[in-house]
Amino acid sequence: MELNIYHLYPEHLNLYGDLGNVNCLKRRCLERGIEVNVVNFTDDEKPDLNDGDIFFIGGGSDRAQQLVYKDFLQYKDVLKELIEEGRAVLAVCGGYQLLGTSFIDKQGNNIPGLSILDYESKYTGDKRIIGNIIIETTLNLEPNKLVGFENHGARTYSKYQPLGNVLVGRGNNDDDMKEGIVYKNYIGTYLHGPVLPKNPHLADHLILQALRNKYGDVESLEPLDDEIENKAYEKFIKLYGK
Amino acid sequence: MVNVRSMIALYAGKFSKQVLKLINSSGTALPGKLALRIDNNFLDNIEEKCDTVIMVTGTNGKTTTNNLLNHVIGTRTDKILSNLKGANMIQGIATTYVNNTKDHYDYGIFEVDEGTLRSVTRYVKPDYILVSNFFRDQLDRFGEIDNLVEDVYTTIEKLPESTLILNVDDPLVNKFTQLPNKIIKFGLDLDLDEVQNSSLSMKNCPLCEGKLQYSSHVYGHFGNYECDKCGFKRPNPDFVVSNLEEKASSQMITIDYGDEELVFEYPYTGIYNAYNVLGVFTVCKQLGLSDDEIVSAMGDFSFHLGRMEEMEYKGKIIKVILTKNPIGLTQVINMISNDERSKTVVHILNDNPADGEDISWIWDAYTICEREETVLHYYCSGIRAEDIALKKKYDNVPLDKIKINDNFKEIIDTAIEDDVEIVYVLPTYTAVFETRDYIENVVKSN
Repeated sequence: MELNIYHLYPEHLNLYGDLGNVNCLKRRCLERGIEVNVVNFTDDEKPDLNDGDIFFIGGGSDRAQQLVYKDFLQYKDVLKELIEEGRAVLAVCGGYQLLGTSFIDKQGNNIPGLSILDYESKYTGDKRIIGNIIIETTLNLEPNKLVGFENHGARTYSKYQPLGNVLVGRGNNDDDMKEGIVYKNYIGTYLHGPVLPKNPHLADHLILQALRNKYGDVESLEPLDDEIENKAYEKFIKLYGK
Repeated sequence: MVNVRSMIALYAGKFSKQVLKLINSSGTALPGKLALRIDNNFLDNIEEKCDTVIMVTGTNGKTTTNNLLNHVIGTRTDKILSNLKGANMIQGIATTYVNNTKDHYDYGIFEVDEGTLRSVTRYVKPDYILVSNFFRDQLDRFGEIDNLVEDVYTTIEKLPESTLILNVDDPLVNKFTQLPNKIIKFGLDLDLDEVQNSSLSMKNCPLCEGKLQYSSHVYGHFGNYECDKCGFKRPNPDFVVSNLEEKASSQMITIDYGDEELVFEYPYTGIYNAYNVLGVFTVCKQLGLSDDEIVSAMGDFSFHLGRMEEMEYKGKIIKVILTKNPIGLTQVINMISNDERSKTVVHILNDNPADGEDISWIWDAYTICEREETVLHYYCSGIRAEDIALKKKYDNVPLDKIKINDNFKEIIDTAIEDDVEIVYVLPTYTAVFETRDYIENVVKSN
C-alpha cells in the first residue's frame, strides 16, 4: 500500500513545530510497511491535488497566511471537492482558520478566508488564548482524549461537529467549550504540540481513513511500539488534567 | 538631584535584598520590583549615574555578549553597572541598580529582553544598542516574531540618538538599517552550507512580499541574501568575519574592518559565539579600545552561569549549556557533533512560564548528533522529560540510548558516572541555575 501526504505551503506555514505532524504520519506508515510520498505544495510547485491521500496545512504568521490565501484561491474548489469526497485532511490553527469563511489580520481586521467550509474565525477584542488544552474527542478513538497547546487570537464559531469538548483550556471560542471541527474526514483544530506525535491515535485515525478511501475495507492498523508516546501523553494528563 | 521617593525606593529594595539573603534566596527580580512599586521613575537614576549606556537585545546571545562586554571593558575600568546574571526584564534591571555601590559609573551595560526594551528605554536612553538576532523564542509570550520585531523597531524609532550595532546577516535585524540612526553593521562572510531546515529559515523579505534568495548561508536565516522583488539585501558589514577556523576547544577568527585585518584565537566554540565575539569587538571599537586590549581580554574570558560552563568530575568534563529555543538547541547539537570525544548528552526540558509553556519549539530543532557512535546515552529529564525523549525518537536516535527520568538530580547522578570523556548538560532556562548548582555541589563534595 502507498499513501501520498500533501503538505501545503511548508515554506510559509511552519510555526510551532507543526512539521512534526507530517513526520508523524510518514513514520507511522513506514513502520507498518505502507509506502509514503511526502509531496510539498508550494508557491513554486503545484502538484495535482487529486493525487493526495492525506493533506496537512499548518499555521504561519499573519503575513504568511495572507500570501497563502492569495496563492491558493484558484485551487480552493479542487480541495473543497476532495473534502466532500472524504479525503483525509488535517488543518491546524492558522490553516484551520484559512479554510473557513473569515479570519483576522494582525490589526484584528476581519479578512475573507478560502470559504472551503462554512465556519468563521473573528476578532472579539478579547485576549489571545494561550495554554495547555485537553479535549474529549467526538471521534471514536481509544483513548478518547486529545492533548495539545493552543495559541490563537481569533475565536472560531461553527455549526459542524466539534473535534472535541474542552476539558481543560478554551478551544474554538470563549462560549461553547468546543474545540475544532470534524466534517467527513476533514479535521480542523487549534491543537499544537505538534498534535499528531502527541496523540498517535489521531494520526492513526487519519491514516486509516486514507487507506480505506484508497483500498476499500482496511479493518485496522497494526499496533506500534508507542511506549514513549504513551508516557508523554500520560505525563501531560497528569500535569494538566483536572 | 536627590529625589526622596527614589531614595526610599532604593533602600526598600536594598532591605528586601537583605531579607532574601537571610532566607537564602537569590531573588534577582524582587528588590527591583519593590523599588519600582514605590517609585515608578526609579530607572531614571541609571541614566544619571552612568556616562555611557550600552544595551544588548535580540533573541540569542544576550547574556554571553553582556558578560563578554563586561569582561573586555572591565580591563579598562571597574566602574561598570550591569545585569550580568541575565535578569533582563524591567525588575531585573531595577534590581541591578538597587545593588549598586558606587556614586558614578563609566559604563552601564545591560542585556534587555526584546519585549522589555520599550519600557526600559522610556527611562534610560542608551548610547548604543546592539541588536543580535531574532529567532522564534517563546512565541506563546510574544505572539509572533513579526510583532516582536515591529515592537523593537518602533521602540528604537523613538531613540534617534542611539548608535545601532546591527547583525546584518539577519534580515530581520538588517531592517533596522532603514532607521535614521547612526548605524554600524557586522556580519560573517562565511558559507557554511549546512542543511537548511525549512522551519528555521525565513524566506520572505521583511519589507515586502518578495522572496529572499541566499547566495551563501551561515545558519538559521543568517547569510547573504537579496530580495527578488524590492532589492532589499544584506549590505557590506563595517566589521566582518572573513575566516573562521573551528578547533576542538577554540576558534581562530579573522576580522576585517576599514583597512585592518586581525587574526586571533579565543577559547570558545560554536558559530554563534563568533557572532557574540564580533558584536562585542564592534562595540568595543566604538568605545575606543585598541585591538590588543580587546584580543587579550577575549583570550581569557571564561563562561559561567551555565553558558558553556565547564566543570571537572573524576577526570571527565561536565559542560552545562543553556538551550532555550530551536536555533540555540540546533547550534549546540552541531557543536557537539563536531566533538570527537566519547560523550553523554543530558537534556533538561522544563515548561515553566520563563521557559515558554509551549514546548513545541523542540520540534523545530535537530537533536541528533553526528558521530552517533561517540554518544553513549541521551538522558531526558525536566518537567517534560518524555516530550524531549519523543523528539529524540523522531530524530531516529536508537531507542536503547534514550533514558527518561523527570527527576534531574537522579539523572545527573547517573549521567556523570557514564564512562565517557565529556558530559553535555543542556537545560532550559528555569533549569539552568539549579542544574549547575547541583553539579557544582556534586563536583565539590567528591
